[in-house]
Amino acid sequence: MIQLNNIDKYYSSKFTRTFVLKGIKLEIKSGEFVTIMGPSGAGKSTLLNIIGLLDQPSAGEYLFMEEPVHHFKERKRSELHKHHIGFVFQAYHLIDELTVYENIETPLLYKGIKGKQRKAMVAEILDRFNIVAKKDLFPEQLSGGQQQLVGVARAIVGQPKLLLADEPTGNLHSKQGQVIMELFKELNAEGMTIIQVTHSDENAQYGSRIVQLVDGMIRSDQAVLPAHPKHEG
Amino acid sequence: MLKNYLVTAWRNLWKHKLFTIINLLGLTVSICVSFVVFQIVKHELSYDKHHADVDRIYRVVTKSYILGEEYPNPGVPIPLAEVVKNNMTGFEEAVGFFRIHDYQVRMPGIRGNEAKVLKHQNGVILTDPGYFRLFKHHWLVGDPESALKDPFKVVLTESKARNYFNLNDLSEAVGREIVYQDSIQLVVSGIVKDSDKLTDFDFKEFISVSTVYGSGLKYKWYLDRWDNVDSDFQLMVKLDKSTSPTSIEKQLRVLRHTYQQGYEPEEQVHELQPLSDLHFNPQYGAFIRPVASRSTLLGLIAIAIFLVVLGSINYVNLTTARGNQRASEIGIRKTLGGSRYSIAAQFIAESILLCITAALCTVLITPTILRLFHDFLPLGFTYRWELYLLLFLLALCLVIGFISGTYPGLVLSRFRPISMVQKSQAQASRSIFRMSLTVVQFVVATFFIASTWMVVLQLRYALNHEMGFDKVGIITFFIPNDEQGHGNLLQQKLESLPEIKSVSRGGSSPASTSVQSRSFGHSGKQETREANLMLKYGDEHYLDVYGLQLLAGRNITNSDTIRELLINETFLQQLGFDYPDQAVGESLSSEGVQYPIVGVVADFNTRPIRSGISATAITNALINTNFHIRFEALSNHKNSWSMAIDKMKVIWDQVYPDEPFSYEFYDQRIASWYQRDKRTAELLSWVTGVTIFISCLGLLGLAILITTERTKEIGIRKVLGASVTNVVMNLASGLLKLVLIAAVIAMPIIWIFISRWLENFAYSIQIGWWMFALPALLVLIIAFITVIAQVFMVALANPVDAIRNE
Repeated sequence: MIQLNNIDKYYSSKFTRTFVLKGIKLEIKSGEFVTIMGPSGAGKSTLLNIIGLLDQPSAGEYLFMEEPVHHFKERKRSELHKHHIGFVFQAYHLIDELTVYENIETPLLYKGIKGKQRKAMVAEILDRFNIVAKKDLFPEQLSGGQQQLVGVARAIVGQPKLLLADEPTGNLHSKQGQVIMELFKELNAEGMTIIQVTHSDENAQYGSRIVQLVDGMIRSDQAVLPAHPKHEG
Repeated sequence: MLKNYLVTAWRNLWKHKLFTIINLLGLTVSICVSFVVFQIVKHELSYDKHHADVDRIYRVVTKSYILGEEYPNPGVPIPLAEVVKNNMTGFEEAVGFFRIHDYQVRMPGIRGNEAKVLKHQNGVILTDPGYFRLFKHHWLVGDPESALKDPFKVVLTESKARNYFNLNDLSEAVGREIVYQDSIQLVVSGIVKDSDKLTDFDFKEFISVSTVYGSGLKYKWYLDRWDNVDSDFQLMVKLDKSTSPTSIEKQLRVLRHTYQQGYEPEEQVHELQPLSDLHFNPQYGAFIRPVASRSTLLGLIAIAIFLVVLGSINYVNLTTARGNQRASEIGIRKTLGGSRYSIAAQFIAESILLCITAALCTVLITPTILRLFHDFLPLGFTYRWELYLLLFLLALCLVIGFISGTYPGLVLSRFRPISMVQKSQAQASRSIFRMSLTVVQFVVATFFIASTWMVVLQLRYALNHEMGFDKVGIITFFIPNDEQGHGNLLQQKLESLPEIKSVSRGGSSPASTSVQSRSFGHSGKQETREANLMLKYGDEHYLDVYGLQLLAGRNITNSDTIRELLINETFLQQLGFDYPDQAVGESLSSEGVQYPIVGVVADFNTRPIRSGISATAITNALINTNFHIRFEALSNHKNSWSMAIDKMKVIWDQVYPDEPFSYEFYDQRIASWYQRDKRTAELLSWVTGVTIFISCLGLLGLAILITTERTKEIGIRKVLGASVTNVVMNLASGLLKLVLIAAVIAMPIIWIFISRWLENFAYSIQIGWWMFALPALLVLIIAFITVIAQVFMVALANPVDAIRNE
């Protein structure tokens, strides 16, 4: 599904290039649940942003579903966002002016899904996440965990093939975090490809594969062993 | 989708109330002004649009050329009408009509009732049935073809009929008798409905034209003279579909040649004035209502556009500058699949929503605005809700909303979603484009301040200009034309009043809008010169009343024919004399008669000071219906004047029991010449106020943004030891620099416009540098006051709060 070949990301000043990512080679197959880990400043978020087409690589090749998306113009990128990619952010990033219902509805509006079907889809998600009672509240009226729940609901309501999560539980306490991670696991079991960035080993255990990033380069890339779900490393 | 946009937009507007109010105020003012201007323009353009085939109806007008000067006249020589009807081709209808002004009607009493007399009536024409074929009327009683066929018939409009007679039923009016001017006895033959459409042909009484030939009216006009053009006889034609106006104009020239001996096309030609031009052309005028001024309408439209631009600039500026606050929302929408186009569309929807809110406010305040500006509205203007007004407002909202939403939409939708994720904030409030928008606003504001001020200065100059004669403590009035002996009686009685210093009878006052002139020749040593002399008719008291200064020779003596001349200095120089004494004893000839120059008077203004001083002579009272009264200087007090006027009224009523006594203070008459300019100045000062208001709103918004954006920076500066003054100067100078740049740019524009306007006056103020500097300073001060509170608030804030605020 995702193929990164020799991806570089750097910032140039007068005489020096500061590399954030260097020579990243990564292939992610459909249905995987990948966790990207590494110390602060290793380039995790940058890598995720590049995969999510929010940022562009400085060099290298990026094939998304066999298409060379690093050439894409903004318009085609927004097509991909619309149809294939869902985002979950650490800071939730709900639209403050919209209610829970309207927030979840927005990606469907951009997708151009007609009224009746849209209502049904939003209702189904609200139901599944147990937030029907909250649908007319504004984000500021919700707790952090609830906001992130809405964030996930919004990300998956359009049934994307790929879900990208940047520190999804970073602002939550552990109980709320678990709920979100369980949800991810469930979604992955249903066939959704998930890539998450996290500092937490615990959260990484929910995935099927861990990619370690240090100083912009991949140091290790290994599968999570299902035998020992908790204590690794 | 649209609902989603509008919901977000509405909640956004609600959340940022301050900016919403700033934007709303600016947009409401500009939409309201546009709305009112639209209605005025629409009103003026609606005149005479309802007739059938309006584009083929023309008025035949006359242009005469005398000594190279053009004299336009809306009338034609009376015989032309018949010649046109019988010999011209290419027209469907040709209708001539006579007008009578200020007439008296008497309705003889029937069945023992008393007769009813009404003076000072207006709106009668004498015409034939063709008039009603040209301009369709709704006939309540009678029919158009027979009603005006015979002489001594009159058709009334419903309102006139009810005014003249006590009627239960309109048809009772038919057959009743009306006596015009105590001499022409007419019978009512029809009633038409008053026009409910806007028309300049707003006549109320229609007398059969054949009445002219059977009554004393035939002596009133030169019925068969080709060399006389009277604006009281006008000719309307409706052309064939295939005929062009130029071909008719050519035919008219040929017809004049054929029917008038010695016709010279160089001296007089006829032109066809389209009906659509009639309401706007001051050269020819309309009839009862004044013509509208195209340039005034254009000026109003320009003002409306200016204000719309200013309001939109506010919106564009504030919305783009606030981009940071929206960056997160834009980023999220993009990750959710929102394209740039859909995000731009959202901003446009938002600005249209704001405009519609402004339009609703406009609807609420328009009645008040119309009442406030009643004096500036055209005659007969009414405010009625109709569909086209709604459509106009809607269209205006869409246009303004679209234009002012597009730029912010394009700029903000360019934000990359990464900027939201990474929380990196660009300083959005400093962009060259937006700063230049603010500069544009202040160019406009400075322009209006400076030009208003200069117009006011020029007006004051005009009113206080030393015209060469006294104008205070003088009243003038007319006596009726026909009773000469009564005038003498009145004069004697008035002269006996102690409050009155002197009484003069003659024609117009020294400076006047009505002008008499005559060509005179002077035989000098070598050559004979011809000159057009403006004539002021007076008597031996004329100089005395107006305090005119006699430089040489003696005053004129009393006479009722032109016998002696007092020339002014301008003419003295034209004759080639250096000293006043030299001219005394010379004589001028006109039509073979010699008139001696008995004296020379100092120059005085003969016209409103738009014109210079013409060669003028004061001569004996050929016309003596105008009384000029100078009050005693001792009683130089308005109260004693009004007592004197009361006494004069008693005397007047003894001499003219049937006529009202209506007088005018001369200084007030002079002021009335500048009425239009005064109105211009008033309107300008309103516009100035509004432009400054809108521009300052924008500046205030910008100040709020910059200060919030720089709160942290200011905090750090203060921690490092900056004083409040330092901080204030630092913040304010950036904003005031823009205002200063605007003032510099505005100056040449103001200079061009004002010097062009001042060219209208022969005597005008000198434009000085301080006339630019003071308005610029004023704008600067206003701008400073606008931003200073906001700036101080930030500068005084505790720096700890600012720095902790992360």
